[in-house]
Amino acid sequence: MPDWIKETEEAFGDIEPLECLRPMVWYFRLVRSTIRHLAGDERFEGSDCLARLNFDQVREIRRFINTDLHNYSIEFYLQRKRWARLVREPSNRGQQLAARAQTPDVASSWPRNPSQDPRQMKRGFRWIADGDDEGLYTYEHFLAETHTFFVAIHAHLVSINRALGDLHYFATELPFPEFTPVGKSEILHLTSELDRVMTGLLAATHLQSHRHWQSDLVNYLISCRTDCQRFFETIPRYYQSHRLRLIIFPIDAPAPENDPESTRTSHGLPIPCLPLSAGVYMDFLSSYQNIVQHSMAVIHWALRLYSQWYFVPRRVLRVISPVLRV
Amino acid sequence: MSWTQQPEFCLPKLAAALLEDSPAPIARLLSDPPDRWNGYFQSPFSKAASTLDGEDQDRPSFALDSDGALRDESQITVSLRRLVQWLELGDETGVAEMASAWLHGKAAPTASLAGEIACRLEAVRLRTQQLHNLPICRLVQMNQLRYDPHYQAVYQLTPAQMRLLESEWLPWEAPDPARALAEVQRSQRIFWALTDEFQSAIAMFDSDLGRCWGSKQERDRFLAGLPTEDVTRFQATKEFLRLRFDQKRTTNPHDLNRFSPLRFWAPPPAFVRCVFHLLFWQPILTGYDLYHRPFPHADASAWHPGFPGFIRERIAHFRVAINRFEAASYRITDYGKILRLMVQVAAEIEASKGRKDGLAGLRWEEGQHRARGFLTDHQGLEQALRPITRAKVHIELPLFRKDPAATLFELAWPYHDLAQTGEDKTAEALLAMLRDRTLQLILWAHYQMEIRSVGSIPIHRLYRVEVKEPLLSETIALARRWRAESEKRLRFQDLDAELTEWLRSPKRLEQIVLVKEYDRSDGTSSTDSSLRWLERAAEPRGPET
Repeated sequence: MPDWIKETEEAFGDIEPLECLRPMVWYFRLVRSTIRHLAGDERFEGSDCLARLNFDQVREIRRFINTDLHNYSIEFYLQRKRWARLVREPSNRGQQLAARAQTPDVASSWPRNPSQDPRQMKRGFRWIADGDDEGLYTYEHFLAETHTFFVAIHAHLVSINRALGDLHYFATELPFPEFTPVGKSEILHLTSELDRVMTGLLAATHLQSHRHWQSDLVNYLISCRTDCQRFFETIPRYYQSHRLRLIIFPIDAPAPENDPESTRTSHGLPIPCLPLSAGVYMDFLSSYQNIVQHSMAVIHWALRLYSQWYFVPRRVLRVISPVLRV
Repeated sequence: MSWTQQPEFCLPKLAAALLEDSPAPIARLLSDPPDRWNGYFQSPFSKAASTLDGEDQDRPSFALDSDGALRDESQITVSLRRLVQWLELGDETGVAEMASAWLHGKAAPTASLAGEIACRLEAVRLRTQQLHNLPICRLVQMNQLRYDPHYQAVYQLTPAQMRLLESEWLPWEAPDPARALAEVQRSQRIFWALTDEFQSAIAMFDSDLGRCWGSKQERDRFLAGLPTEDVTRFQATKEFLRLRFDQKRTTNPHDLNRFSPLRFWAPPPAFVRCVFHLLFWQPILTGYDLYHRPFPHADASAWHPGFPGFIRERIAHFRVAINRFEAASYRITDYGKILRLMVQVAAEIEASKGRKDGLAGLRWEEGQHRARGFLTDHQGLEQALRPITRAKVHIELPLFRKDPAATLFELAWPYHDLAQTGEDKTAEALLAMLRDRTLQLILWAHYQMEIRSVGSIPIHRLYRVEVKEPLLSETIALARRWRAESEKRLRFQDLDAELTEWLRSPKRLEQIVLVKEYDRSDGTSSTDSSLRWLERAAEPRGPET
């Protein structure tokens, strides 16, 4: 198995993945590794990157990924229903405990990830877990309560895929090599920040904690939302430095006598890119911003979805529904 | 008044109304002059296109019967001449020779003939930008729709969602989530492995789309047009190719379509003249749709006093959805590519005649040149995406071995009877079947019958179907006759004469009226709409305390 796939599996953490979302995670990892490869990160010199595919081929693959997303609500429902059955059937539970137990304290509680336990719910799949009558919460019930949320989340995920495709396009078809080392390091930094945001997106779309010790999923999702906001706060600085350096101020190389003890190699051009790739640089910033905006929207929808089945504190409800009257 | 503001239409006038504000070239492209094709489906099940009797014999047409077969030998000569004229080729004699062997079901079309047909299909093919923002239509059933009152949006559910809903009320569907989840994921992986064109070919030419049965008795009952309430398992298919997935199990079109996200739409002229009748009359008269799913009051007795009401309820179960085409949600079928696939299969079948292992040696596997066009080739990411697909798919042709598995995989009747006499006859039967499918493809391409939508998409406008008198009384009488004579093993085709007369009568067709029920642009919805709502308050209530 290629290393980047192993890495992807590790990225899921303690989340039991939905198969329909796995290709999208791979897609993100491939775009990310492509950018890092082109930016000169030696760890991503491998052959498994999208750099050698053209834009149309990547768009074709994206079409398959987006089609998989149409099964999102179905897989989500079936996964939860399966958990509810596992909880209800003692014999299966014994097998699950035996399979998952690694330490005695872990074996005493199942599942390993508390957010996978339907008994934490106050309704919905909880009824299936508690009793034998699966007619209490059928797919029709599930659809009635959640269809709108899944339609919205799906729309945002498709937009995120499109923005990832834009990133790939900018990196491979436009003058990315014209970026200076400063510019490339800024792009690498933004890509690393995006990693963090996408981890939050994973948790939001699966409605599972990323790590089993994250017992409060709601607060975790709020912290992911905060990550998105922090990302937005840093973007204007990049725009500012880019704009000011290129347009307003002349380009001055740093005088070496100003810091004689510095051992850092000073870059002759402390700007992210040359005028040739100025547009691409701003396109990158826009795409990253785009992805994070959609991710934040998904987190909001995920919290609303979560509130269908779990208790959600009022302060969180106010975050996702500012006009809520309580 | 724009068509968007009209409260109702009669069916024959729908196409003209929807296209009245379209660009003239598109309107011409979609509308056929009345004396050219005279309606693709003269009756809902007769896939025939012919000229007006006795007039203009030089117009091209092919007459296929209800099984899509060009069985009448006398038709072949006529079809040959008309095919040549349709292709508009200069050297008629040369083309006739090329086409003759093919049309007689003895050989695959030659490469040059296939190329001419494919070029012609590609030339008449609609492009995405031509259809942008034009209205497209679909006949939907009420149970496929859900209304979101908070956003005043109507959604049509995907086939996959319908399977989950049906599993809750069909006794033979096991609602096991683990198994259902495995099926969904398997279907996704196969989807990655198959090209768009091959999936279209599967969906278009599965002669009994999604229908299977567990025993020969059930199959015989179905062929006789009798209701088959006892269907317990889905096993067989009637498709010309079978997929073997992971070397372990086969995949029928039924399996592929079971959790498919696809739906099919049609441009207004094709919808009004063909698709509507194809999908509407059979369930109204028999209580079972094309895919053998029961309709309301499927088993209503002909002599029950409420029988007329049952027929009205069946009619009320239909809606016509009209959306605007846009490239993000809809895709136009590429008929030229599908034709090339079918010709490729036919060429392989013909080549097998001289081979030692015959048809048994015909398989298409990933990585093989011959698999191109059937199986996807995610160039450059083959290794990386293999975990996504995890599919080792290869394609087989139907053979008529004696083992039980093969007996469930058979060609559509009547090719099956022809093929039973020996393997060389099997090849002829396959070639004949492919010939007919190719001719059908040409007809479908002419009408641009298929526009695919993916996923659950919102409906823009919804119209209720009403049948006025006296057509309503005639419909009830015909349905009563069908039900009363069902023990005589009637086939639906036995009603051909009556339905053909109806469909040729403009006055009767004007009694089919579409009444606007929902319009997203102005948020109108009928107060007595029976659309099922997505609303938490309605359900669920949880366990009794």
